Amino acid sequence: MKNYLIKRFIILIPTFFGITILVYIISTLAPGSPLDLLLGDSQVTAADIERKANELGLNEPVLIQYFHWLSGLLKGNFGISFRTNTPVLGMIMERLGPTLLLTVTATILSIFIAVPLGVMSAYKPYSLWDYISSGLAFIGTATPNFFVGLILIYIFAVNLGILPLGGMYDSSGMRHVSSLLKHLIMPVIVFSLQQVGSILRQTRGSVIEVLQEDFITMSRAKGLTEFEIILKHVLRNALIPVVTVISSMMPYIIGGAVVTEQIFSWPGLGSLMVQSINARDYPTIMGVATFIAIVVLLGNFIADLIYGALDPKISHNR
Amino acid sequence: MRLKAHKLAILGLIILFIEIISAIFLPILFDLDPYNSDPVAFDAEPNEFHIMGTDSIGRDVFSRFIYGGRVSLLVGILSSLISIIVGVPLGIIAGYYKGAIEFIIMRCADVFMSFPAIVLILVLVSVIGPSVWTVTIVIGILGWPQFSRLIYGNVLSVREKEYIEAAKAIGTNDFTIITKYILPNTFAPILIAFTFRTAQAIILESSLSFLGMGVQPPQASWGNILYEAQSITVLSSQPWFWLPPGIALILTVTSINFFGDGIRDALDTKMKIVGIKKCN
Repeated sequence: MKNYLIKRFIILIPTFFGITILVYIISTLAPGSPLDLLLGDSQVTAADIERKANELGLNEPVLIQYFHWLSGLLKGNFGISFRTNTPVLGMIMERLGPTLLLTVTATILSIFIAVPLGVMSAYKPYSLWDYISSGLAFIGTATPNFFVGLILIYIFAVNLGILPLGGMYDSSGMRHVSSLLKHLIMPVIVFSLQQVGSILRQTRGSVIEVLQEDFITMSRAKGLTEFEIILKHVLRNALIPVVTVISSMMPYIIGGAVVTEQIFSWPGLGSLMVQSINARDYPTIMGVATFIAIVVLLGNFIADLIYGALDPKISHNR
Repeated sequence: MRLKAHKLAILGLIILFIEIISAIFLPILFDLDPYNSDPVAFDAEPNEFHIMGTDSIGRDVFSRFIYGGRVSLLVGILSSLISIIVGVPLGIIAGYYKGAIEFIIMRCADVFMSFPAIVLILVLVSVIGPSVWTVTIVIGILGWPQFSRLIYGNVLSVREKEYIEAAKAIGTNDFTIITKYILPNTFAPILIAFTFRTAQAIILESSLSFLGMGVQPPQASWGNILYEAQSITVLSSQPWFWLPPGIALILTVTSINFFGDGIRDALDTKMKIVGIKKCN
């Protein structure tokens, strides 16, 4: 297990550099430079501009600039937003909470719906349960989530008036939990639809596989009830790929709610991204992208860890 | 179950066929104009001149719907083709030559696949500037991992067969081995992955256009028609405006998925198809 950990960690390092270099290259392509304000001012001389450029380190080789940027990053400097003139990291942290609230709630909901449904439909293929779950999985993957969101808003907010149109709290400014919950319902449903599909399919598939193993027949012969078999043997084996799927959703949990947040005006990272793009606020765009990239790296690493911890075949053979 | 899947696949194929024919011929048949405004009708309800009404600038919604279909379908298909062009060679190189290059390519594939696609595409499109071509190329290029992984698996399994060894023994060069022996085995999986990727690409393009970062007006796409529905007035009072593109999207993606399932069942009897996932 330790060897496995060390190996995965060693792979993490070049991947980290690879991703950050890629992000840096993309950010240099973005229009706008810190010198823009100066260049527009007719009273500023060429010598001044040169001096400022040297001060900001803009005349150094790209590689050095990259390392400056990287070390700034590691200290928490993700840049200053063009739009608000505040540090990007601060903006990210502000928005992270709402995003996580939405996505983690939705993920938990998806797990509670998809895993039991998956087990049921594996036990009774082609039954009513199977069709319901295939239907759900299908809606999740085939419908564009923003359309589902629009329909939900149309039905519940516009026509029935029982759920709010968007935002996180009421416009009264008072932050009540009841108001939060009402605002949370539709975005959570929309976001979880996307995940229910994949968790469901994975659960169903792996439970079907495990059910065909000999040790299940043996347990039945020994006299265990079906329920005990499910708890003690089936789930422990079948859930490994499912847990892997869920842990691989980690980056998605941070960055995947862009469209959902946009429709429901949910003040999270996703809508920050869209806002920044509309405002051409490149430091924030790249800052959020970098943040998500780091989460992707960590997420992969943690997913590998979990997979190694759960499945002895993986960790002991290396 | 096979038979039922078979029927659904045929249904899917028929729907897609109807869509493609409509997208190509309806504009000519009905002389549709999605760009000019009708000066007497703004935000009109469906009437005899405009079957689906007009938008706030007076353009005929039905025309935009059909033209939008053209764009959405084209972007989906073209971007998937780009994904194949980028992904297949990478997968072949990784699987055939192994070693460090295999490690780098597959590792990159892992990282790209775990990144939420929409974020990556948004960043690239915002830097390059949104347009239908940017969107097509970016969605296309970012679709490479699925195909690479698929081909990689295929190449690995075929590589060890005796006829490859024999071919090498008589001195066949690598290029010939790849094109004559390995590639033909990959056609079926590529086709299946192509259909699923097209569905995914259509959803991606519509999400991007919905956010305003995809196909730009005055050009129409189903996603950017839905962009208008973000305003409450349109949403509540003009359902004929935004329901059709949404339903069209669902119908198209569903049909493609059914069709893909059908082909996969039909071709899967002998092959173990490695790595095909319907990912989001």
